[in-house]
Amino acid sequence: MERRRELLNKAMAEFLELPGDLVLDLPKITVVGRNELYLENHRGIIEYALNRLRINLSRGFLEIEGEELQIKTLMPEEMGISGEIHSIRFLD
Amino acid sequence: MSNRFLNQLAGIIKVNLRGERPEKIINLALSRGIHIWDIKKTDDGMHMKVKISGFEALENICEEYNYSLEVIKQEGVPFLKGLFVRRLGFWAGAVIFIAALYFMASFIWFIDVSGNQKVDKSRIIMTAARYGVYPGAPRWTFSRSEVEGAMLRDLNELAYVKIDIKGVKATIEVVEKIFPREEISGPCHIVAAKEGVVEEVLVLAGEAQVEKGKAVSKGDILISGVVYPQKNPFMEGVEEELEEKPSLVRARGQVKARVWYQGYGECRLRTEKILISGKKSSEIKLEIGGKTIPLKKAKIKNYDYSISEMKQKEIKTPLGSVRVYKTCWREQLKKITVYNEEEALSIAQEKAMKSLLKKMGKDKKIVNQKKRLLSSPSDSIIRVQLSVETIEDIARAEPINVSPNGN
Repeated sequence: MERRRELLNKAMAEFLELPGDLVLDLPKITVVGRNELYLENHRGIIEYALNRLRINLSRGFLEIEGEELQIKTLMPEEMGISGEIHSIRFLD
Repeated sequence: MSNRFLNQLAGIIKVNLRGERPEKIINLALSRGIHIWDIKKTDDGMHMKVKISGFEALENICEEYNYSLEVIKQEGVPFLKGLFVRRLGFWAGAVIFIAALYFMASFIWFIDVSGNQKVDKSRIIMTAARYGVYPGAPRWTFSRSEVEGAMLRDLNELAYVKIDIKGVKATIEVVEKIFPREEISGPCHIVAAKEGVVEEVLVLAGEAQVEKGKAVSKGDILISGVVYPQKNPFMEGVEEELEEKPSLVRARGQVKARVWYQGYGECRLRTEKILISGKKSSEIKLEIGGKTIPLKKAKIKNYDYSISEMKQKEIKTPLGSVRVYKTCWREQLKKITVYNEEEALSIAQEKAMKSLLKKMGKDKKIVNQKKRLLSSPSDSIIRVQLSVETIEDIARAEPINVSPNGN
């Protein structure tokens, strides 16, 4: 049921050409250079260490690997990360 | 959005969160709407920043889940209060200083008088003091216009008084009245103002007592105001026993006389002069209630000769009197000048002329001039006497004192 609604929403968003991050709560990631990352529509932090950061998303989670990672800002919908980023991975 | 400046205003607390899986606390804080930023993992926990408003809520969460929360640093305006309390003495001093400055500035400390020529400065200051303007007077105790008015009433010689107060200094500006010259209206004699030899007498009213060639001394009557009736030449034979009374007139006339003036001047062939070099050093001492406080020490740099002067000033305040002593040393230098005889003579002559002109007054015509050397050639000093002859009006009116029994 949930799956079907999601699919419907996605189809609607595509049909109406609406951005996914607004309609479907999809994460939006902005990376500036190698040192800054902004993430919108997150669902909290799962794990935080200096070299690895896992962030919960509406579906699955995001894993950021790097060095000296630091959470610069943290708000219910938004977060900003700084530090040397090596990789960004989506995991289920 | 977080704004650094607004956060500073509100106050920031940096904390260290310790415990297993601190992410849990972060997520909980996030869900409860506590704003957290600058999260950084360290060896002994997790550092993060939180606003003062959110700190208590964060503390509650930590307590609930048995995490330890430690305050590392406090920033922002609310914590400046602590700084203020810690330096209370300093702030109190600053406030007292400003208050004292303001308080002291509301007194008059110096009084200056300008514009007076004949009226004594001390008299003006005394009069001003009587109406409340004196060193140490509080400014609110007098009104400027009232004092000005009162001073004008007291000092008849003044036409205008203005008290200008600039900071702690009051400047009394005065303008003196110019009185018209006193005119003698009653009967009077014309007397000699100086001694001399009469050269010319012109009588307009009265009776001449002197004639050309007569030597007069100061105060001699030249033209008498007492006029005796003349005998009728045609009635020579008739001796009238009845003596007519003399009449009194205001004598008028001009008496020109030769007047001599003498001036003396001298000049040494070798002179030692002591000059002030301009170098000076001063010492200032303050005496308050029997205690002397040196404010400035003198740096005397081995003056060979020096002159010292001491100034003393007393300032009366409501809290007692303060004395300021100022001693000033001025360096003096010896200057030796050697003149030859000609130079010395001309200098002596110049000096003699100067002293002569001082006695004589300017704008008088010199008729004759004589120079006399008083010193002998072997003297180390040249002395010159200069005498000049002028012709001037020596007439001066002097009222006749009329005694009640008529004379």
